[in-house]
Amino acid sequence: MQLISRMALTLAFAGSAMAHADSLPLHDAQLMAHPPDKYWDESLSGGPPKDGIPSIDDPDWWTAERGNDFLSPDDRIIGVFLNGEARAYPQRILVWHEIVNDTIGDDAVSVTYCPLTGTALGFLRGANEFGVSGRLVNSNLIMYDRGSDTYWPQILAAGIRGPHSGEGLTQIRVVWTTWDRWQARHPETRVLSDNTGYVRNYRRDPYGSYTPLSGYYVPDSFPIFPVMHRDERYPAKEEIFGFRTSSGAVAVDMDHLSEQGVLTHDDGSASYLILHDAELGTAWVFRGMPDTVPDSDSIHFGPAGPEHPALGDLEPIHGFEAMWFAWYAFYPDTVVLDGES
Amino acid sequence: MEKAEARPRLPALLGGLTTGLYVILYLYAIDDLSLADRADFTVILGSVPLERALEARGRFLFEALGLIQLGTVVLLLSPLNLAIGALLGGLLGANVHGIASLQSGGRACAMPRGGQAGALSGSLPALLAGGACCAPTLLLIGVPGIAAVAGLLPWLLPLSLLLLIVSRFWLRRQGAPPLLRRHSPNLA
Repeated sequence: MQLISRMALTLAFAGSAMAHADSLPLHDAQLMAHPPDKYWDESLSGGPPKDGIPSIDDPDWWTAERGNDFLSPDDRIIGVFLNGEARAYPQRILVWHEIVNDTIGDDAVSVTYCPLTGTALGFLRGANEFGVSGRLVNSNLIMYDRGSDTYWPQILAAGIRGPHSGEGLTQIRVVWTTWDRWQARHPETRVLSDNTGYVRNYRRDPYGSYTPLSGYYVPDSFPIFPVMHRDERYPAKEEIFGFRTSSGAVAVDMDHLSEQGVLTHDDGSASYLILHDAELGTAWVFRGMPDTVPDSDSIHFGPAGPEHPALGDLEPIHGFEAMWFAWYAFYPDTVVLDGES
Repeated sequence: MEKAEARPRLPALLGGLTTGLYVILYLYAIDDLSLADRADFTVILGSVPLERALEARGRFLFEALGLIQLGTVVLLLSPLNLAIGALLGGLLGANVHGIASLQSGGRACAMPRGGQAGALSGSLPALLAGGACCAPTLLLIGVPGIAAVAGLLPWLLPLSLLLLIVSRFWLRRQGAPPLLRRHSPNLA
């Protein structure tokens, strides 16, 4: 199924490449609560100009062993496992750059991180590169692609201004976890080095700290930019795991998922299986439902994620961790899976 | 005036100290001077091309060419940021020099707090214009209600420049000595 999806994507990509010189792998936008123009109208300058926060376009790599000199075990990293390769992108580097234009195997990808919403997402980029526009909507990074100059809020993963307005980017799964957890799962991982082409104090996070939590990242601290929708069910910066499809958005309470191990959800048009990955501290989502829901103890986690015979025919859905205020600001109709609602 | 001429070095000393302190404050405000979470002794030079020094990372903020870390103190070496800091610090120092000269010359009553107010109002905006990564410092420290004008904050720097220049001219008109004098037998 995954292979067929991938082939369809490749064909779509080929068709798209003929239509657009910038050859971004695109599809219909997944879910937007408002028309694209509305997001642009609500966007504002975060301060720096376009590319004032420079993306890393020529990434350099360390071995995991060398990475240990730079990273503490509980340092946050953004992990990607693609085409048989594992890569770790330290949060303490991405906080200064927000986008890495990388190539993993045959896939050109952009690994993106927005410190203000605590979101890490990856996208296929074709022959294109993404840059930081300097604008924000709902505090979220608005990227732009250097081929068509379309503007893309990271969480929406959809164009809101420019030639590809209303179209969606193709996501890849990235994992928001800690260095020791990622290294335990991927001992051969490579690590993005601090040879970024720019000089920064990578031993300082201008927003605060994740270890221990301080500054901007404290859950009940306030977001600093205006948002389109507010909700106080959780502290503003409480971390939830969110996924969205064309039919709706779902926020998973990670404490609830951790207790249950496995959750199911039916939105009326499709069923979803949500698995807790205790080793990485994240979740994996599949569309479809096996005849028998697997017990969490029977699921093995390999380099590419959960492995179980019952998952074979299910379609992976890419979700990501996000601060609650940001998720709700983009998806005010979100379902919350917390065992109570 | 005799008093001013008898102690010509004090205003210059105060002006110089102010300049130095302001440059440090300015570099801290724009994040070119910061603390690291781990002590180290490192000098990084030559890892980026020289033309990077002209690349803007914000309005009136430029990229660094190198880094010096002494313990937990980290200084980014950005020639243009250092030049801007030195210009602002120099102007503030010139204002302090003017105020100190007038005061030591017994002319304080001739500038009823105007000189101090001018120098202070000129020195602050540039410190507030500094930005961290993707948000100005003012927002990160939680000053409410200014997010909507975040894009305008960098313009506080030229405002600083203008206020400090106007303030120094005003002090000169009040009788403050020029910064550079022709050779005078009284000072020889």
